[in-house]
Order: sequence, then C-alpha cells, then structure tokens
Amino acid sequence: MTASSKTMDQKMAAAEAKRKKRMKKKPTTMAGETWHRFKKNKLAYIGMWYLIAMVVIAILAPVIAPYGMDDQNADAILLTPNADHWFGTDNFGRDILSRILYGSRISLMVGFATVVFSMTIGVVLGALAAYYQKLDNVMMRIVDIIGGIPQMLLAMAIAASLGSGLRNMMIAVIISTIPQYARITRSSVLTIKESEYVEAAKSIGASDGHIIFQHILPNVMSPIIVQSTLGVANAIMASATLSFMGLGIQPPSPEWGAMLAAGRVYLRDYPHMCIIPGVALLLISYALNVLGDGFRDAFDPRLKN
Amino acid sequence: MSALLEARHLKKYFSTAKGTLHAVDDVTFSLDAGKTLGVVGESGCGKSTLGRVLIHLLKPTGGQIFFEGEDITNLKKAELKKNRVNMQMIFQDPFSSINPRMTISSIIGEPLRVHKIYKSKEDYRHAVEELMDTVGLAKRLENVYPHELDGGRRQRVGIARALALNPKFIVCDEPVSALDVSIQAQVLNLMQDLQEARGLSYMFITHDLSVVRHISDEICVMYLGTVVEKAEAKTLFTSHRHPYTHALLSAIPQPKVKKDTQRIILKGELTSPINPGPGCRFAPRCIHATKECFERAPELQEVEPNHFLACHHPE
Amino acid sequence: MSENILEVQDLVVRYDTDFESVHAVNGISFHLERKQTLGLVGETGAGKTTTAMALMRLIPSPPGRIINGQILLDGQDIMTISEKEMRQIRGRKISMIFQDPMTALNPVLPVGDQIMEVVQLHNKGMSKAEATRQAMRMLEMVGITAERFKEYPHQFSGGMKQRVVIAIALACSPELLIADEPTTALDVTIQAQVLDMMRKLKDELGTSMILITHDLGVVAEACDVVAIMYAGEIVEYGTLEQIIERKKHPYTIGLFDSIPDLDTDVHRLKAISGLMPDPSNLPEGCKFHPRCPFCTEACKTGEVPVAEVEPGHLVKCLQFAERGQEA
Repeated sequence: MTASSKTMDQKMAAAEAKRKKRMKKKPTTMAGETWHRFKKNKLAYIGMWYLIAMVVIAILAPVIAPYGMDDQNADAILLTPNADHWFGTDNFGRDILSRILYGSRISLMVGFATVVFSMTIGVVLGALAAYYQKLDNVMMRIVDIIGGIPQMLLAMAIAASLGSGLRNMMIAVIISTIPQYARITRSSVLTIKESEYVEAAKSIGASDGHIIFQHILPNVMSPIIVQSTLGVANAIMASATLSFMGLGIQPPSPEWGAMLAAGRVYLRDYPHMCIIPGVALLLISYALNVLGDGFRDAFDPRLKN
Repeated sequence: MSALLEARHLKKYFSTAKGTLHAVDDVTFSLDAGKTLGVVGESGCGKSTLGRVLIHLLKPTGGQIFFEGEDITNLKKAELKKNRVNMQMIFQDPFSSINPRMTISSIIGEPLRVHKIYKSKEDYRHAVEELMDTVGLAKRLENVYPHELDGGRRQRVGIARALALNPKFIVCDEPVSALDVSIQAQVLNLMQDLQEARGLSYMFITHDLSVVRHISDEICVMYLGTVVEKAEAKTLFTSHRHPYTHALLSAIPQPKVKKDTQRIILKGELTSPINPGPGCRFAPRCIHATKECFERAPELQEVEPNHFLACHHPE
Repeated sequence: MSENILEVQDLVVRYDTDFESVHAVNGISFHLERKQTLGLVGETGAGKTTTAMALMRLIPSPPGRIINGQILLDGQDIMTISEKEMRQIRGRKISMIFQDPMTALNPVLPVGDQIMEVVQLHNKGMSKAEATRQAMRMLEMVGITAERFKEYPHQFSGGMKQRVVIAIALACSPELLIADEPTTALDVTIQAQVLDMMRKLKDELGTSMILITHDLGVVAEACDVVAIMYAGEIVEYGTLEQIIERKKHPYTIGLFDSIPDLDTDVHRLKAISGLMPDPSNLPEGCKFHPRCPFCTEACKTGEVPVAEVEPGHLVKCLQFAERGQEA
C-alpha cells in the first residue's frame, strides 16, 4: 500500500466515523417516525410554530394587548403605523394591534370549534354509510345534495335565515362543511372494511361497534386529521367572509372579517385598516394549509417521491 | 366416529356485472377431528371462498354445513357468536391481517376480550402471555407494534389470535405463502406441533403443492369452483387420475437436476366461472376432452375407497 | 468481444438514512458467460434486487450508493460512463423485467404501443410501419396473437401481462436480461408456461440472463449457474449440478432442507433456526454464524475467505477454507 492511499483510507475512515456520529437514534414508535418525517418539511414546521404562537397570543390577548379592544381615542383617529400604535388606529381611534390580538381569539375559536363539530358529525355519517351498505345510498345522496351547493352560498343562506351572530355563523359553517368529512371518511372506511384484519375481527365474533371503533376508525384518522387541519383554515376564512358581508359577527367585535369590512370605506386613503387584518387572515390560513400538507406527507410517505 | 366438520352440496354464488360467478359450486366433503384437509387450486378456483363460507364470513347460497353433527348453516346472531369459538381462521397476508395500530398483546388478546372469557385482569394477562409463549413470541414483544416485526413473527401473532379461543377447527388460508423459505418451515413445524398438542383440525388452503403434501392427510383439488379430485395425500401424488391434477403436479418446479416426470404444459388461461356452461369446467384446456365433456358435467364419484374423482375420461 | 458478458468485482451497495446504514450488498463478485443463465437465490433482504438495480445503475440515490466495485458489461466498465451513455445501454444491451406485471405496464396505453415505444426509442429513424411490424413480431414470439396488438393491459390475464412485459424487455434484443422474480406472482400451471417460453426464447435469441428468485424449483428449471446470497454476500457459487447435488454451505443445505420434498416423507421439516439478520446491524464474522449449526468460535470474528472446493464451485465458509488451502 502506498503512503498516499493510506492517508486516503484514513480520511475515509474519519469521514465514516463522523457520519456515524451524526446518525440519530431510530424512533421506535409509529408516531416517532411520523414526527421525524414531519420535521423534515421545514415549511410545515414553521407553520406549526406560527399556529402555536397564534394560540398563545389569543390566550394572552388581554395581557399583551397595549390598549383595550374598544378603547376609543378621538385624538388619534386613522393614524398610520407608528411607535405608539404599531399597526395604526382605525376611524374611531382604536388601536388596530389590540383589535387584531383580540380578533385572533374569535377566529381561532370559530375555526377550531366548527371543525370539531362538523368533523365529528361528518365522520360518524361517513363511517355509518360505508359500513352499512343499506344506509349508504340515502345518506350519501343527502350529502351529495348539500355538497352540490357552493359552500359559501349555502353558508350565506343559512346565516341569512337564522340571523347574524356568532352562534348562527358557526352553525352555517358547520353544516356547509360536513359533506367534506363524510366523503373522505366513507372512502377510507370502504377500503379498510375489506382488509383482512377486519375479516379476522369478524371471525372472532366481534360486534359491529367494536370493529368500527377498534379497527376501522383508528386506521382512517390520518386523512381526516389532514382534512380537518385544512378545514380550520377554511372555517376561519368562511366566518371572516360572512362577517365581512355583515352576516356574521357584528361590530364592534374585533373580528378580522368585520375589520376588513369596516376598513373598506377608507381603503383609498388609509389602506392599513384593510391590509393588516387581511395579512393576519392570509398568514393564519397559509400556516394551516402548509401544516395540513406536512401532515399528509408525514402520515403517508408513499405519496411523496 | 362421526366427522367433526361436514359440508354438503355447498354453493356460493356472487352476482357480478358480467353474470353470476359460481365461486364454490356443489362442494361436499367431511373432515375428522385432528386431521388436515388440504385444498389446492390456482387463483379463482374458489378455495378461499370455500374457507370463508365454512367459518361464516360469507353466507352460503346453498347447501349445508354440519359441525359435530349439528347443522350450523343458518345460525342466529347469538348462536353464531358462540359457534365462532370453535372455528377460527389464519390469514394469508401477515402484513394486512393484523391491525397496524394495535400492540401485539392486544391483538392476541382481542378474542378473549370480545368473548369476555376472563373476569380478572390478571387471568387475562396470564392467558395472553401463555399464548405468546405457545407460538414462540418473546415476552418483550408484548407492547410493540406490528410494523416492527418481520413476516414470520407477524404470522405467529395471527396464529396466536386464532388459538386464543381454543378452537377445534382452523381454516388456514395460505398461511405460509408470503413467508421466506426458511421461515416457512418454522411456521409449518409450529402448526404441526399445535395440531398434535391440541388435537386441532385444519383446512389448509394453498397453491403450493409440496407444502400441501407435507401437511395434509387428505387433499382436495379444486378447479373453477368445483372439486375435481379428492384422495389421501399420498394416493393423490402417486395415482391421481384427473388430467388437471396431473398437469398441476407436473408443473411444480422441483429443486432437482434430473427429472423423471414428463411435464404437461397446459394450453390456455385460467378463466373465471361466470355463468358456466353445462359441461366439465376443465374441458376447454383438457387434452382428453370429448363432446361429452362439453355437454354434461361429470359427477364426483368414489372410484376407489376414499378416492373421489369427477372426470369422464380418467387417466 | 469478451468471453464473459458480465463481470462484477467486489460490489458494495449501501443505503444511508438519517438513522442507520443498511448494508445491502457487501462485496460480491461473479461473472456470467454468454448465453448462460445465472440464478441469484436468496430470501427477503439478501440483496438480490439491490444487486440487479446496481447492474442497471438504477440504485435510488439518495439514500442508496454504490460504495465500491467494478461492473464490466461486455468488457465495458459501466461504473465510469455518464448517465447519458448508460441510458443508451439500458434496453439495448441490458434489460430488466420485474416481479409484478401489473405495475410494469402503463394501463392507459395499448400493449402494442408500449412495445413500439421501446423499439422506436432505441432505433431512431425507424419508420412507424417498420416499428409496428417489429412489435407484432415480438408479441407473436411470446405467444400472443398479433391481433391483440391494440388491446389494453387490463384485458390480459396475469400470465399474459408477464408475457407482454417480457416482449418489451426483449424488444431491442438485449444481450443481458435481468429477470426479478418473473413468475412469483403467477399460478403454477401459468408459471410452467412462462418458464418454458423464456427458455425457448433465450435459446433462440442467444440472450444471457440473470434470474432472481427465492424458489429453488425455478432455479433447477431454468439456470446453468447459481449464486446463493445471504445478507448481501454470495455464500455459495457453482453450476446447477454442484449446488443441487454437492451443496456445501450450511445455509444452502438449510435452504434445501426447508422445503418439503415431493418424493420422500418427513414428519417435521428441518427449519433453519432464527431470523434473517437486520442489514443495518449485521453480525461480526460470518454473517450466518448465529443461525449456523456448525458455528465455532472462529466463525464469530474476522473475514471469511472464499474457498474453491472444486473447479468453479466457491464456498464462503470457514469449514472449507482450511480444506481448500490443503488441496
């Protein structure tokens, strides 16, 4: 062996040792592997932290907001962003930053609460339809009819007939988003239903309820989690839209959609009144969307590559 | 001695877009306690459907099933659940037959929980441990998830689950065909040991003829939903008389340098038994087929003691 | 034109993930003479498919990497040529068929068009009519009537699909055909048909072949030379006769003992104890030693040399290493 090849070998061995050191411990649980894959997606990871930050901000809004959400100051109306009011003030002299912070409470609550309701109802309907073929036709046709109406139009119609307000707006969003969950659950359940482990459960004499809750639902959760993450963004947007049109939360509540509506009149001269709530909506929706994509890739690595 | 399990003129039809699929058509057999019946045939011959009909995963279209002399063809829900204790199944694919989101011990213990066999948690845990020990799974695997196990160990989990209720009869649907050769032998040995220790009866469904010869007492050859020949394992391999059995046996590639058998290469493809004609289902591919074969289906007859054959022109 | 169509020297392939290094192929060497069929035999994780992918230079990278080795195809070193040159070689000189015929065919193209596509890709300037004629000839050759030229894959049965796949692989008359478990997904009688056809075609076209399989019966049917693989190494290599009649390595013996024999009765099968080793955590010394009934202290450490027990019959086992030196 020549001297130069010897040093080459040593170099290679050193590189090898370095690589071995860098190697992490292999996760042993399925959740651990999923988490590892998720973390690889930087955008989704950032989205997750943005969302966590927003939740913390929403909870701490009364503590961190520099002004009250309704504090009017006649001496400081329509100020552009400055040192005292970072996001400026609106036509009543209210601090926009404070209103955005308080508004995050409404948006997030509406987003999460409506998704919890519509997901629960949708998953139960979809699972029943898929598992009991007799119910399938009736239930899925109803879902198809609801799903056939444009979601926003349906939500507007419901909100208009029930009257405005937080509760009615949430009902409108819930009803209009149920079909998404019912459909996605039904198609997943139909696949899992045919699997051998469901057959095995039947062959030991397990009841339908046992099979649905023990074997089917845990295995269809990943697409539903992905859908509901995207659903939160959808629900936040839908409620903002309803409020923007006056069918949702009424002023003076600092809802982002309502703030947009209020700023519309001043758009030409004071665009910050619209831009700031608009950007807030955009960011939260974008964060939830990349998070949902990240979940999807993490749950099912086969979809990527 | 009366048979443990008996099937009489069992039929299972499926309606498809193209017509009625005769998956199992008029199958009759009986199985004694402690014995193994091998069922061989190629894809679409109805062997898996037959197994599923027997253990009530599918409802038969016609015919009767007797277990220990009792007609169990049409059972009510509660009776059926009671009956399931006697009959279990081991599935083909060790990767899809166990729930990926349950731990090994909870998969094995599931039958015990469903039938509420044990009142105390202690007894239950003890029973699961014993089952794991029986099939050769280390105790440390109790709380791991299926994806951490290789195919052979997963199949052991499936076997332990089937044993949990202490059944008398187990349908084994290709239990080793997804496993590597060296692991396959381990699992086959385990199944034989269990049979001897517990007096189990197996119905062993497979397409692997060397495995079926090794494990079975009797073998039943199926072709497109019908039984074409049935005999004791050795008889079937040495003095088979159906042309399909002959072709099937000669097609097995054997790990030997010199072959003494003449290979018969069948012409044509396997079809599916949708709206079958009146004749023998093997006739279109058979070298001996005559006009009679296409017009009238041969019946399964006892040509020698315990050797049944359905053919107009036996070899 | 060299005597051997393929020569592989000391091939090492490794997959590096964030958590572990999977040692898929660990220094294998073999050669294949023209017009011969080499059987690569082994169980899941033995490195058979990785070896084949390395020969095609299709190892997915990352995470895979060919760490070491030389592959001479028809005397040409394919490790040093560019990807563009390699593309010219794939299909024309070396071609591969995969286990599952369902996924190897494009479901929305008629089978005839799929064969034509390959023909035209490698014969630039060939007229459409000529390519069609050539594709029809290929179909006839694998036993499918040319009338089915315009049919789609779903109209064919499994065995027929595998014939189409073989027709595509042979469309440019490659010199080396790699078949990865070509009959595993097929029924016994159909397998017999396909094996029979492949044997005839090989003789007709003079193609050399590497047949990857776990089925020792198929090996005996179709191969001239056999390499038994275990944990990324070739543990025994020899002619079909040497391997079947005079097998030496404990793993080979165990493998043959594991399958029930059709002619003799045994009450219990002689199974190999234990499991395949984890390729990311291979044992020291002989990779088979934890499962080997003849394991000695010496087997547990160090490299195992390859011994030539008779001309052309190589065994990687310490039992024969000493004897080989004596002889």
